[in-house]
Amino acid sequence: MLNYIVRRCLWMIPTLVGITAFIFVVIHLAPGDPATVMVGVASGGEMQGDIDYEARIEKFRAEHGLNKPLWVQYLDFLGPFNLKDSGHEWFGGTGEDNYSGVLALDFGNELQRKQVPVMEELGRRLKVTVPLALVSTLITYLLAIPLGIFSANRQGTLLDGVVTVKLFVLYSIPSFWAGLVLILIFGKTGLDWLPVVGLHSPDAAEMGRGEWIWDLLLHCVLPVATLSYGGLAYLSRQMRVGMIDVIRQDFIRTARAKGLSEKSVVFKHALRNSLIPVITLFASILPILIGGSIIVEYVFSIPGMGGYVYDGLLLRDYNVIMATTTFSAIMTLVGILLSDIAYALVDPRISYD
Amino acid sequence: MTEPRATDQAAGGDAGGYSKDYWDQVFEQLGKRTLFKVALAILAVLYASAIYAPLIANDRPFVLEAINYKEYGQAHRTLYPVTLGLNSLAKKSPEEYLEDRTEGSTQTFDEALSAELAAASGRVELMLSYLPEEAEGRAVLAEYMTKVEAGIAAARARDTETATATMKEVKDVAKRIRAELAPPDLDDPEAEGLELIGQKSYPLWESVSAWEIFFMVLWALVLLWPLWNRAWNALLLRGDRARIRRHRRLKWALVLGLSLLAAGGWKATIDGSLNFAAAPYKAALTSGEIVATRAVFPPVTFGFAETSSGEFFRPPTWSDKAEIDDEGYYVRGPRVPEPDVITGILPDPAPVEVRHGEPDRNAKWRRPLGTDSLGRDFLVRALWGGRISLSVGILSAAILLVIGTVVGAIAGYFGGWVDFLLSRFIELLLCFPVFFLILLVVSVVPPDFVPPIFLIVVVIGLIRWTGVARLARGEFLKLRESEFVIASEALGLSPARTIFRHILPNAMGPVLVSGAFSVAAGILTESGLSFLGFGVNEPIPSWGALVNESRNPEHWWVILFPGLLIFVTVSCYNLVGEALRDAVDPRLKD
Repeated sequence: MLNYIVRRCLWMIPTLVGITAFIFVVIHLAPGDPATVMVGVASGGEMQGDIDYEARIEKFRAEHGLNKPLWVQYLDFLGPFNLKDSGHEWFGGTGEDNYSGVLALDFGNELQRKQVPVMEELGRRLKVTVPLALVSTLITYLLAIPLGIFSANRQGTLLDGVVTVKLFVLYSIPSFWAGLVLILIFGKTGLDWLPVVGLHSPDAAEMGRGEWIWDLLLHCVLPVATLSYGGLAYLSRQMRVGMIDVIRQDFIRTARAKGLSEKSVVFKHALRNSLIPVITLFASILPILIGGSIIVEYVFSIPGMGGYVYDGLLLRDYNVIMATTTFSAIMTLVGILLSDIAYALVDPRISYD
Repeated sequence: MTEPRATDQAAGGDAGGYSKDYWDQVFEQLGKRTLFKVALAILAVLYASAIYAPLIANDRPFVLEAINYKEYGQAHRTLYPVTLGLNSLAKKSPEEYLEDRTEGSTQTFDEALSAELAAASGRVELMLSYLPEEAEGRAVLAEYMTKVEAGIAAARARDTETATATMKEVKDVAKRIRAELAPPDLDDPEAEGLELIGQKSYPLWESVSAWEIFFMVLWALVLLWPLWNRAWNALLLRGDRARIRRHRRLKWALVLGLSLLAAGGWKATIDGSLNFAAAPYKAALTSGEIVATRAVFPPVTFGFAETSSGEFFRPPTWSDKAEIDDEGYYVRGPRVPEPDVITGILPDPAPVEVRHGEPDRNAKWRRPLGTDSLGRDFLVRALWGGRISLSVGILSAAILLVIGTVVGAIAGYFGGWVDFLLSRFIELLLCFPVFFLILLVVSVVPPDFVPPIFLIVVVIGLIRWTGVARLARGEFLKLRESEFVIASEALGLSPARTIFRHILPNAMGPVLVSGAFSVAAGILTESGLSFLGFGVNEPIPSWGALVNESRNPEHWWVILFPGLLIFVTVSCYNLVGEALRDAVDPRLKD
């Protein structure tokens, strides 16, 4: 097993290189670059004329290594050596800053708001996004599995039909719309039960500890609901199908014939077997949550990774885009790995050696 | 799962016996599902409303018979100065002309004469077109033209004397025209004026392009399919099942052919590329510069990009908060203007402009779904937006189905290292966070480089095909061992023929099912991207972009209606996919 995990982790490296290289090429080949955006941002309303316009673009490009050939820029991104003008002496740099890139765990500074290191800001934002995603996944599973079992045990009844149709409907709702409608219903314009903007009230800094946590919880309700309803609908459908599949099998009939209680049949014999397909879905839920976080964080104005991606795309900030891409690719790959491992744990017939 | 299709032909031979083939069974299964039929009907209506949007909601009239007093007045007013110019030109000899001509002009004398002639005849023709058949003025204008032509002919022949004399007469006629053919005074309706007739034009039809006609005809034929199909089967084929089956393909070809024919004919005759600026035209109609004697508008008379400055973010007019008074102030609700705290003055009035053919200012049906930040009608934009949203779903699904099927077929059929490589590649693609990747590509390519909507379609198609490929691969792996494939190989048929003619039709079922789900997913993705602002170019609407108009919960109609449309469409596609899945392969059923 350990052998398998190590092998899989090693496989991740070429996959990651492939993904990042592809995205690197796409964003660099597309017309326009951060330098032009920077000039647009910096010049603002006042017209200075175009005297130092070209010079400023050149300076910006040189500073961030954008004037180098694409493959050098990509190697610079991978690291660990800094290949920019300020980089390692071995590669003709000045030696101010020898190491950077993914291998040095340094994605550089934000291109538009110079001072902030991307890694630092990303860490700050992941502290928002990852808990939200994990809580949503947890809630999804905690609700979906009982719902699937409930539905499967009453297969063919009116109640099962109602639940199935409801989940089906839920699955077809676009997530941004779900968020907005939740805001309409629970926000100021509707029932006015829950806060709808950000994660904290404006006066959160002066609150006591308990009050602060309560405030945070209230703010999280709607985003978590928006993040998890789609997965909930999908998962509980799969759970129901898996459960029905298992219940039809011979060993369940045997268990019933032995005179075991219904509870024991369902939870001891059927559940373990029907969990297999649902657990593999973990791999597909994680990337959906990452994509979903962009929309959810946009809708609820949450300063998380999704919002960071959105800002990075708008500002053409290569460093931000590459950092978020790398991170979400890693999350996806780890998700796939975890679900494969869980697969083996649940089903002893599967072995990876 | 099925018998190979080759049996179709064999079954055709028995006249009396009728064995159901695969698709007969599929249709029979589908016919039993009410939910499927309802979903299909809703989709049919949604597509119809998108395809026929230009005929339902448009600011151009179908037929317009109008007198453009402004145009006529201009022609009439400038005819006399043109005549004076002709007169002075005719008096000159070519040498004098060359001496006098304006600095930098390279016109020769003859060219100058032609230019003046064109100016005069253009104006006369325009005036003639507005004059009734029996009007006396026509004779005067005709006389004017003959004399002008005679004078110019004389000048061309360098007969200055005759030319001068003729032009003098022309000037007299022009004076008569000025006096007798003046347009009626618009500001004084009492005044007796010249009677003009309207000009007939078809602005809406002339702006419908050939491909729109293609889809309109196609959809009409598809919607009427149950009718003409029944008639065809009963009358032409006398209910012979085998022949009906063989005619399936013929019917589809006919539908497509007829639509193409209609589109080609349209392109050749009407062209449909008229660039008709509807907004100033409507304003002129409203102000009375143009008077319509007959104007047939579509049911909704707003254009999808037609703005209305007094009506920004107006709630749906059936709600009582939407009432606006003469000055443009809201009567009830949170938007009632309040006097300035210091000066006590109300904000400047911005009266709502009710243009020609539009419902009254406070009519319940004026803005049934409200308006956006520029006062554009939401109902109209939702109708037109369906064109983008619905076609993105279909097109992206088509691309991914083609790629997925081909890759899956190759991997499944050939197996071995081909399969290994393709499978690894698919696994690699599955590691991409899909929405993130699509968003990235769409956002970095500037909208004037490639229209974002094409980009969205292509990128979805290029990234999402992996699911279909896996399905197709599975089907091919299963089918490649069956007898009919071995038979076709034994016959020496090429792999391509075996794959596409023999295996594919039998593997099509599951692929089609995932196609229906892919359309739903495509629509969801496009709406998400448009919602984030990376979708269509302004002012083209799409449902996702409409939701993005405002995130202010007070503008609830902005959020509610377009989202509801997306939701209904996606649900319907999922329902259709579900029903298809059960019908195509009952073993996949829950």
